[in-house]
Amino acid sequence: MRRWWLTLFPLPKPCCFCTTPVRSFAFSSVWKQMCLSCQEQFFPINGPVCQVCGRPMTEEDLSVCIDCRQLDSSTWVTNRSVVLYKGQAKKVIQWFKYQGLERLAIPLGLWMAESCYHYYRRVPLSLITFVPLHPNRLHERGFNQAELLAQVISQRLGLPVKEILVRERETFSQSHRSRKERLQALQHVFKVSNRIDPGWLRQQHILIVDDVYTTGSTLRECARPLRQANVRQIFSVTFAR
Amino acid sequence: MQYYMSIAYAVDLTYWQQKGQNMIPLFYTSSFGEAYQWIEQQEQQKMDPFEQDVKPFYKDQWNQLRLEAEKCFEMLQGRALLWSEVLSLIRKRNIKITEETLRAVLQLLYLEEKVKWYPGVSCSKWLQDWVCHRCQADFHHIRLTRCASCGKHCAMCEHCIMLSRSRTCTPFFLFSAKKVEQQCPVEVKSLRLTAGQARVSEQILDFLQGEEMMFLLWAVTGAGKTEMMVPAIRHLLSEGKRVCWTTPRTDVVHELVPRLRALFPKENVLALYGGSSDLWMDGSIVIATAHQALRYVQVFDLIIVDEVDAFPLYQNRSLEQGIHRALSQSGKIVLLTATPPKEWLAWSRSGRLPSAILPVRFHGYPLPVPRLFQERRLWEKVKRQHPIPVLSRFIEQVIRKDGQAMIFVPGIWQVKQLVSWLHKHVREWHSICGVYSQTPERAEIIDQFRRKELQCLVTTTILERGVTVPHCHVLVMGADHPVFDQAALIQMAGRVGRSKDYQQGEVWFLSMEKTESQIQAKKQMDYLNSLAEKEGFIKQGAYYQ
Ligand SMILES: [Zn+2]
Ligand SMILES: [Zn+2]
Ligand SMILES: [Zn+2]
Ligand SMILES: [Zn+2]
Repeated sequence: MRRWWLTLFPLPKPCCFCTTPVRSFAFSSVWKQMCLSCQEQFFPINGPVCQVCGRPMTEEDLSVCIDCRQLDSSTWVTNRSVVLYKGQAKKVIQWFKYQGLERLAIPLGLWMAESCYHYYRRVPLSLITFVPLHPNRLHERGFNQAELLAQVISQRLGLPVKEILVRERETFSQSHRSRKERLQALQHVFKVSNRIDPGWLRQQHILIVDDVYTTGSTLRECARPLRQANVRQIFSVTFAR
Repeated sequence: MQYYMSIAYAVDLTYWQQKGQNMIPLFYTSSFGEAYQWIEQQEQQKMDPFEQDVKPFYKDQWNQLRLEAEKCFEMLQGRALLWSEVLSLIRKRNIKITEETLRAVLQLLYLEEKVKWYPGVSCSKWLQDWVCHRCQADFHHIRLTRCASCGKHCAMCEHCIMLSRSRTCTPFFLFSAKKVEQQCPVEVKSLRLTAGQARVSEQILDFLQGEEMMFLLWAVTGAGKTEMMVPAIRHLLSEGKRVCWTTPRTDVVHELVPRLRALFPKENVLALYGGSSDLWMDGSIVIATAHQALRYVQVFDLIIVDEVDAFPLYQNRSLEQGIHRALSQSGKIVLLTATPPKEWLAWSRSGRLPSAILPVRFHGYPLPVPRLFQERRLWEKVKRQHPIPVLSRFIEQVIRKDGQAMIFVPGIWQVKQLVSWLHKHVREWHSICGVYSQTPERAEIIDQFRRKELQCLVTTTILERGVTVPHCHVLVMGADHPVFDQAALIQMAGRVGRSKDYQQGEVWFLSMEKTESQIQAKKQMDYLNSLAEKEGFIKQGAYYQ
């Protein structure tokens, strides 16, 4: 009897992004497992978005945003993001990626999986991969944030994760460079790992996972070697943009 | 036979060769914690063989290394740091040294027993034995993850992660502190203490000479605790000793640093908090958040623990042990509080904890005693925007006395509801603002309130301490809510009457029912006022001019 009662009125648990207690069910959405003030500081992307990069658009806009239209359409990667990169999202990414609070991969990844289900439900995805780090960086940081997210998403969506790409050069801090310099630094840094069977890879519909979408150049660079390997389709998902 | 660990094998080779001792390498591992555990438990499990071809140092190289080591030790002494933090410190101090040389330097210091080391986190077979060596957190805060640095399953501590990641495969260094005992003149801005302050600071000076290790100072809000500590700090600095003032809140650090810099113009006063530009520097007075104190070992001869009852310091074993670790062998602790927990008062009465009470504010006026009011279905009325006569009366008297109102409510929802209630019912006020922990413009809003640009601030307990404005009146709405315990109520009431030029401020507790904490809070303030009166402090004449 008591158990049944508890499922109706669950005990408070800490909010998944701070310590405020929240009453929520284990199976409810990530949004409902958050406290009110966290909810208020996240800016979820709902409603119409650019059909390419997933940026929020107003109703009257065209289906593809100005930035995307300036790009060569053969390099387009269909991307969707969960929230805008401001407020609490910025803080949470800071804790997760730079402070190394790895457990945040779970709520972030589950939330991303919800978005994947929302946007990519009708797409025959077959495989999840992630933006790789250079081995030196990986050794220093101890984990790849995109890989952790990919693992959580894979469990929720029931799709396998595979490390397909490798980063060949180290690209140093991007923040103080101009847009052009960044693009140049990124060019041809990714390559398909030689442990991957090309015949198998050709059959795949791939979802690439990353934490933040800034200009999209990282994801487009990731897609380049995959396109050369003739994979069927490429999509991507990031937590924030 | 002795076991040693090495992070730079060439150093061991040279060191023991010079001592004429024999040495053999046993095995190699990518994880510091694994090596540590092997030595601790002597579990003769199979490990990878050591297969590197290492040559000892040449004579010149070796002498060079010794010099480097001396230079680095000078900077690192008395610190408790993870490898990544040692690197940050060395970089901040502009020491040009490669990571490889730094490893050799640390290895030499280890062999010379100037540094002790542990893995950041120990995780043996038994869950109960898991511990973070930096912050003492137990398995509740430790998480096993796949680690790309050591390529193994490796544990990390989530409890002290805001400092940096403490892990099994990374070493945590405890650099022993150098003793400097020299007389040095200390310059202090002259300050006037009231009779009450002077008496307490005498008591603290006596305590520093005595045998006891801890002292409780119960001083009411607005008593002038910084000034009272000055004679003690000066005394220790003049003997070449170092002082740490630690607090659970960054706001307090920001507030104290300029005051102490003004009081001790020649001393190096450091402000340590996450992201501070003073991190990794040296100073004789260190003002630090409680977590930053975890980065020191046995250096301070006096640690002042401010607002010791405030979350998360009180009842937090880890931070408590951190403070004890940062204390020198003969060091002393002064606990400062305006709201001591019950058990401490009991210890103090039984003589187990030497203590002093300062029941009067620096200006000599009594503490404002709260008035208790009850209102039925309070929050329902707020929600439906029905009139609440008591609330209106409170606001009327604030307006009449040309004051500013601080209204405390239990939670975020109530902030919003009350703000819209006030907008509807109070015509005279057009600048009313709500603030809670995650309001992005929080600092800006508080500044506006300080500048008197806001007439009313509605907030949660986050502002129960710290914010003081001269013309403040306080109303606690829903004072019967469990978040408002006795200490919180006293702190909130303590916002009122801080300036000697405005003593008309009032404190009202409005609730649906009278609770024990409200009654006890009122009782305590009555007690302190009567104590002050008995000791003759509540008179203007009692002040030194
Ligand atoms: Zn939250
Ligand atoms: Zn677009
Ligand atoms: Zn820890
Ligand atoms: Zn590790």
